[in-house]
Amino acid sequence: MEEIHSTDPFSPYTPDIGKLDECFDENGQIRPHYQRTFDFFSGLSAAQIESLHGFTQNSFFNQGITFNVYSDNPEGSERIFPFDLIPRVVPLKEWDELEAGLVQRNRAINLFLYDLYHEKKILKDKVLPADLIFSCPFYKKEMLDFRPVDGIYVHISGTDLIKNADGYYYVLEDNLRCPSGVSYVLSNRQAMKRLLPALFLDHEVQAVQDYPEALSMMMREMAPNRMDDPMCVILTPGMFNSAYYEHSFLALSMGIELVEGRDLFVEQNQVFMKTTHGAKRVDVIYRRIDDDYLDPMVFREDSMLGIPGIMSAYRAGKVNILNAPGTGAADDKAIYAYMPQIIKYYLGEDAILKNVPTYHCSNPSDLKFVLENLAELVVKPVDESGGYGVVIGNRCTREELEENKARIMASPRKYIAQPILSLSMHPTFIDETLAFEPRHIDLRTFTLTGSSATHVLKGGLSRVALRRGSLIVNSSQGGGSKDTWVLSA
Amino acid sequence: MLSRIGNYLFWLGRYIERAEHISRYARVQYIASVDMPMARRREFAMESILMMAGFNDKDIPALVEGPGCEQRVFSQLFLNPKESISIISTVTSVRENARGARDALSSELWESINKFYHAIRQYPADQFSAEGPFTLSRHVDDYSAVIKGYIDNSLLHDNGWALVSLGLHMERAVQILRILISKNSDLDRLQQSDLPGAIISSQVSSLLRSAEAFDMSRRYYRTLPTLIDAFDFLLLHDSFPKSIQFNLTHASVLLKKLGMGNTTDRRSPEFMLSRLATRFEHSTTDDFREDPGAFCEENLKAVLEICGQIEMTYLKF
Repeated sequence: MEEIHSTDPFSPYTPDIGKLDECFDENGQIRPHYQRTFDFFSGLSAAQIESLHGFTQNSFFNQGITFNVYSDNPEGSERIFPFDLIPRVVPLKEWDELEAGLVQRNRAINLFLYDLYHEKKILKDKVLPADLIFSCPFYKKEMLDFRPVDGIYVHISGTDLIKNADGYYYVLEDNLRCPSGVSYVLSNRQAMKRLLPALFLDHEVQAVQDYPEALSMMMREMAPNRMDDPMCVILTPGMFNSAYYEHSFLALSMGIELVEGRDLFVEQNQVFMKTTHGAKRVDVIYRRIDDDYLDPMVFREDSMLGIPGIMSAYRAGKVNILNAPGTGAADDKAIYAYMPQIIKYYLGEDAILKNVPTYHCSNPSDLKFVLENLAELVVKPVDESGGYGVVIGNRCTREELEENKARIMASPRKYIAQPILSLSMHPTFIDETLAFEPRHIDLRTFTLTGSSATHVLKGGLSRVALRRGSLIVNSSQGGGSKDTWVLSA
Repeated sequence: MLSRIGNYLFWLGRYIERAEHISRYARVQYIASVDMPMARRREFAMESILMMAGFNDKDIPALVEGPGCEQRVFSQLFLNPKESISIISTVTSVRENARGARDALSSELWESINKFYHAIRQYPADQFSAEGPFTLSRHVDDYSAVIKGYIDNSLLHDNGWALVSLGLHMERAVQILRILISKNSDLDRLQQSDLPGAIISSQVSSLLRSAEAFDMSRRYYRTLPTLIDAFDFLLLHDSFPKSIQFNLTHASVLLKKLGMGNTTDRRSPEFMLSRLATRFEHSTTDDFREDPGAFCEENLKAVLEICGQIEMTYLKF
């Protein structure tokens, strides 16, 4: 492909052959919705871009917009989430289709969870194997026959999407337990507005700053018994958690308390928090701790993060927990493969968003195929997140492939495999070369589901694999992020 | 407000004040010592600094004796993260308490604290070795002033603000009392050595400068204050913001504003603090003229007991 000369000293920019570049088409021409962005950056000197880049990183550092990486050295574990200057631009038409797909998917997931914990019709009708559900560690029998407020289990979901070389968005995974990253969306937008107001003025970009208000409204709406002025809180594992910045950011943005398990207690099935002025009742808890740690009387006995008795208060309808315990049964990567059938079963509609073809290693014929074609597949543990445990076949040595085969054969239920999809690429400013280079990106969207409305954040977190050729975009694995602009016309 | 958040806020205020006073005392005493006409002036100043900061008496000789004494003391006092009393540890505690209460703080306040923490952590060790504590200590003063500005000007003046301010006032009282005790001990040692009066005057000046009280005391007394004047100014002045009386009175008002407990119960922190503030209000120089050190020691114990009582009563979680 021909080299594209943007501006000195950043030219040449060479899109990777055979990959979809969000900014340039297959002939090397700028896509129309990127024209003004490209022109803007072309008008900046190398020194200006470098200075803007440095300013942003410093600003994030000073604001403490960081995440923690688990390590032996607690002092060395706090990192900035690298932020890239060039926004990802999504045309309205493209976004509208995505949004419709996300709303559809979340509706189906909530119906699916209700069914799983009540009549289990989908299993009786053999749409998906019952074993898959009952062997899933995130399926919680403690939720059986319990109906959460308005039958909603997943209030906050994060859906990871990629754009493939064929130009279509594919859902890579659903995050239905404690999806994180929305604080970076809002902080990235704030940084971009401060840094490049002129570029914003050149575009009609949809706002993302309404997310905290939408989350707050949804939480209030989810209070038990539709009370007028519920006490809503966010429950965090504490400041050493990798997403603590986000927990505190959301609490601050909504003006609600950020509590830890040790701040709460249960008395007569009512949850209270310990305040300087005595005990105060709590009605809605947006928990950012995993099911297993929620209640040591029901789940893990050794949990120091949870609140003894909270499940009993929840089942008594005295408090609402968002997301509901047991939602992980629907985001197990093995269940993911059935999502088109699940949508069809509950809604009678074809899935709007595409799924990546998935092989279950628990299925003998799939397992055989996976073991024979490991070098051409991505293998993922069904119960991990953050990119941990993902093995990309064509990046492995022969020895590594053999080790992975052995691992899969030892516990096939733990793994799924998918073809290696080609994530789209995007110009990204690279520190080492002080140049714009193509890097792979994905997109995490955020959807809020309440009784009266479903709110999809108009944008999302575009994550960038900063290492050339890498497909791993997770922050914990060296990924960065971009502001995502959904155009309003 | 959550008791845990209240606890973080109270200690946030205390650690800011602690870092500022220890750092300033070290700077002022060191600068004052360099032209003191006496033998062992280095060791004398370093002992005073370590004593005020709260180092254990038995550890002080090993740090002070022998060549390279200032470098040893200052690296330990400012930049040793393993030393819990050090400035870097104290500033880390400021930030950790702020992180714990992040959702109760304004973004502006949090950012100023975060910048303070990174500025201290990233301060180049070689620059510190070459320059001594002056620049770093001034940074501590400057950041502390900015942070306190944001506390007063960017927070709602509600319970959260009241708890940070309560922590500031209580810790300021603690630190000023520690300065007075340390300086009183220095002067006792000097007076035993029959040294010229000029040294005593210089010690009085450095005492006042350690509390940023030199200019205002000159303005108030219209002459260089005597030792008893300096103690009077720092203990009993009703409108100087570093004086013990000023801080106890303000802390007492804040504690009542928080309206957390029973003010008539003799064991309640409200009652204890109000009684101590009133006692200061009615004290004169006659109450400490004979033995200023004992007066300060007794009141330091009382202030620390009230701090403990505030935590036990309201901030336990």
